[in-house]
Amino acid sequence: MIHTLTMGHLDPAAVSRRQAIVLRPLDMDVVHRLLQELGGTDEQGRPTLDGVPVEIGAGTVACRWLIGGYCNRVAEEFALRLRQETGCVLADREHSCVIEPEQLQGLNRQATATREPRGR
Amino acid sequence: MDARQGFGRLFHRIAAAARRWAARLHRRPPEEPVLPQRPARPFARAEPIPADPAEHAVQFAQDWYDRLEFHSRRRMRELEIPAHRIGAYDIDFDFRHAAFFPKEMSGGAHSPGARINLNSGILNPELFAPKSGPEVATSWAKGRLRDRMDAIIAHEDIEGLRVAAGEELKAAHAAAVALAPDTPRPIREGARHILRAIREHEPGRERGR
Repeated sequence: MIHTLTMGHLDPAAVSRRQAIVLRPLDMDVVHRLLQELGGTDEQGRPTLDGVPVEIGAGTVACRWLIGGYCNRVAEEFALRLRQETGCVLADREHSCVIEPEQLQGLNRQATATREPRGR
Repeated sequence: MDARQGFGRLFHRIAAAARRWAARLHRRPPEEPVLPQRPARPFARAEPIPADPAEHAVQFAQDWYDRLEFHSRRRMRELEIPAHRIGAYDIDFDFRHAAFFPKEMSGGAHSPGARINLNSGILNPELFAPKSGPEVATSWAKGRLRDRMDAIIAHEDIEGLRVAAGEELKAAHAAAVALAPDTPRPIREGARHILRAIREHEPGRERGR
């Protein structure tokens, strides 16, 4: 129901088995710079993207992406920029899916995966 | 002869009275408590309850995994999910096949082949807070567990089938949000209420508040 976007140098084959195997850690300088550009911090000092907490650990970054009808476009933008700069893999591990950049809208791009009309 | 019988009776009465007095005067020691051979079932060490509802849900789900697994499977069968789509492999527990994943927090998910599982997110009253809006957060938090289970199963059923058919994940999710409240599966009315609230939520509406 809730989708989390996991970013890192992951083994794509492992993602299809719901695993997040890190081949090498992310460049954390890039991660922190992008978080400063796009994100904020919550009351506990944790980084956030559009107010949603970001989990940094084990060489990956993860953030909630789709929560019911809400789509975290800031997280999408972060993921797109991170992939552009580091060549990392984007994945929804719990749903065994590698996410291609074309599926993400970000803040300025056109959506390729549009919401279905209500009531079919 | 009569004198002998009389002395005999008298002797028996005196002996019986002596035994009674001896019993009364010679008190038995009180029974000592019987110590168990082994200590009885040891009490589990008290675990602190996490302040974070999501972590508390994970802790509870791990403690009560067997019951949650049983009810997840049974509910999926009652909702006529085909047997081969009930459950997936849980990597957190050595790839055991399960319909309920205690360590995951998203409510539920689907795996290749549109296989459905629930997880500890169904126990988290704040699963949708705050980004899905107050209506969704309230209907979810006040919803009964069986309603939450039905809502997740209906959503993952549609989304999983669409992804298995080759649709992109994000589009499949959007379709599931739109179509799940009207699913033909016999989900409870409380679940339809939750799903309708999710569908009716206008993304970004709360930002202006």
